[in-house]
Amino acid sequence: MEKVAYFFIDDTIWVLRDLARQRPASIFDNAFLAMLKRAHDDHGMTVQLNLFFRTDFFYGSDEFTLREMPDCYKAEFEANNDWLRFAFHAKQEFPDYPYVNATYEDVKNDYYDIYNEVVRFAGDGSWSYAVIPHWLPMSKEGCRALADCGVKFMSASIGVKSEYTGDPDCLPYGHAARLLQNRQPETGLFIRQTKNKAISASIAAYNHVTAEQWETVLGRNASLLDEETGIRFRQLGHGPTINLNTPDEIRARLAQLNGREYIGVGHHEQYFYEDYYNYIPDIEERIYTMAEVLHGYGYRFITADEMK
Amino acid sequence: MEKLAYFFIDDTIWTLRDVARQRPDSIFENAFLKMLKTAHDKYGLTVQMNLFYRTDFFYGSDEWTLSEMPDCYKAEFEANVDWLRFAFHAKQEFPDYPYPNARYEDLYADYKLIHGEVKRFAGEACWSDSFVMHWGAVSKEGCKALKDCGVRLLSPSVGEKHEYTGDPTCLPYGHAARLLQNRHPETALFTRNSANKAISSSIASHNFVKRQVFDEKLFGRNASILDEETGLRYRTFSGGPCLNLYDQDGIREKLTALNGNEFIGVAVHEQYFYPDYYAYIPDYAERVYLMAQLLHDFGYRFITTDEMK
Repeated sequence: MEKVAYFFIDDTIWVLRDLARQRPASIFDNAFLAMLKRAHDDHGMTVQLNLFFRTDFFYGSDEFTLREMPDCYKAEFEANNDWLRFAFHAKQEFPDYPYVNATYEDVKNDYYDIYNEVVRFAGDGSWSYAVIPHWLPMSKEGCRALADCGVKFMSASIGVKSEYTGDPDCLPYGHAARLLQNRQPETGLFIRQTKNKAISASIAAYNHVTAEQWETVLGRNASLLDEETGIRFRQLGHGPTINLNTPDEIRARLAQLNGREYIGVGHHEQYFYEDYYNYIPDIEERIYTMAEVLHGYGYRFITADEMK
Repeated sequence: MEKLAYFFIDDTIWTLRDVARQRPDSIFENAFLKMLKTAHDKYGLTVQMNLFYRTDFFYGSDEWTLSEMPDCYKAEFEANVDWLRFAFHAKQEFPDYPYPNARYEDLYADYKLIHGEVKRFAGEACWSDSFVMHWGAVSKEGCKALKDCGVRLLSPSVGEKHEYTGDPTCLPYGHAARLLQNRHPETALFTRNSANKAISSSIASHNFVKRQVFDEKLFGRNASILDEETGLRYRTFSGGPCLNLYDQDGIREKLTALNGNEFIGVAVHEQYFYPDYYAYIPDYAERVYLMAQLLHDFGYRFITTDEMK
């Protein structure tokens, strides 16, 4: 059994904004991409950058969209697409749970808005068909839209799905509104397994599997076919999230997982940036540690092309 | 002492989107504006619609901005300027607390964006230079920007300010991030006096007045106090029931209790009028009519901000 690993960075947009505005000679003159390339060069790390279409008003009115990304780096992205990929994440960072009750048309349009821009500035070979929706839940219509867009794999929430009680206090502030706006019949509640306890009470939608179903694919390079939509649900992350774990915690968690056929590790872009309120100074060390440890354990990093 | 009333609608954008897309012959064929005109014709209601620049992704990807509002209704808006006004509220509905740590440039640009569009489609006379900010709190830089944009009167947060403890659970989920992102020294906590208890623990910024000062100088009066640092004047725009938080009995009770004050301000939010909003209120129009009728019958005269001191 070959041991394979997969690394993805959610909420990605600022790195492309900086490239577009600073126009370095090489994409790897950018500090964020240089960090990723070092881990790739030293430990064979691959990375999938899960994209927003635009920056969010949360950070002010200086908006950037992927339309502003120049195509002058296309050849360089194409030359590195064996390890550096892009995929859909959401139109923008806020609100939380953007697609829990989404219409087919909205998901399809948002997906193609991002896909078309990536094809233009990085080439079709840089695109990945494995998707982790922002905040995870996706409506049934949304799953159908993603299948029609060519998406093969997506992540799912796991556990017992329960009915919303009507009490908004059963969810973090603001999330009940997300559950209720344009509510779809498949929307319910579940308990998220995360180190961020503030969001344990979570919203589930269509892309949800039971613990028993999950056990059949956990730690394996394998997926569950959803026959109604044609999408395959599978583990993409579930290793240590980089922004929630120190280097020591990353080492300890990966040591626990070592031996599994598949380990996935997630991260979020924002924490690399000093002007983010939750800036983490040692992000580079954390990513490098993750790549070094998995490489040392004999894992080979893959792209979504090799997912089953 | 003449008794004065004031009514404003925060979060306004869908009405204009519908007018732009449906292109009725008259703006008052639109159900929302028709409701307001009915209350104006019967009870002398005046209305200030505090605007977003664009609809929010919260409701999906069908985005609409004020730049799409046609100017074919300009004459009709101008003909009704004595009772129907527009003002700034925020660029968009989310995130909560858009401006407690805002940069001067951002708020200046957002204000000019909305003001510029209103001038184009409704005329300068329809613009009000006084308003309630989305979620209340505005940074000192933001207040300076508003002053430089010509704003005269702004609502403050009211209470006692205290320092953020570092524990995000002292605020509703997500709000600590709003307090911390691009944090300014004036940003802190206060307890909001609201019927919506979920947001009692709130963020304060520069536009803040202590409870004692508010009670002595502003509540129930057509009066304002000067913020000498920015040149803005703070005053109350409300004090009466927020119509989407009180049922008709509650509105009657609250207004009866306030009757006799020199000034009563009443607020509502636009969304609750619309059946596709998750918290739709079916008797929204009845609440507006009831409020207008009661204040009219109590002898109140509805004013625009032109008459605010």
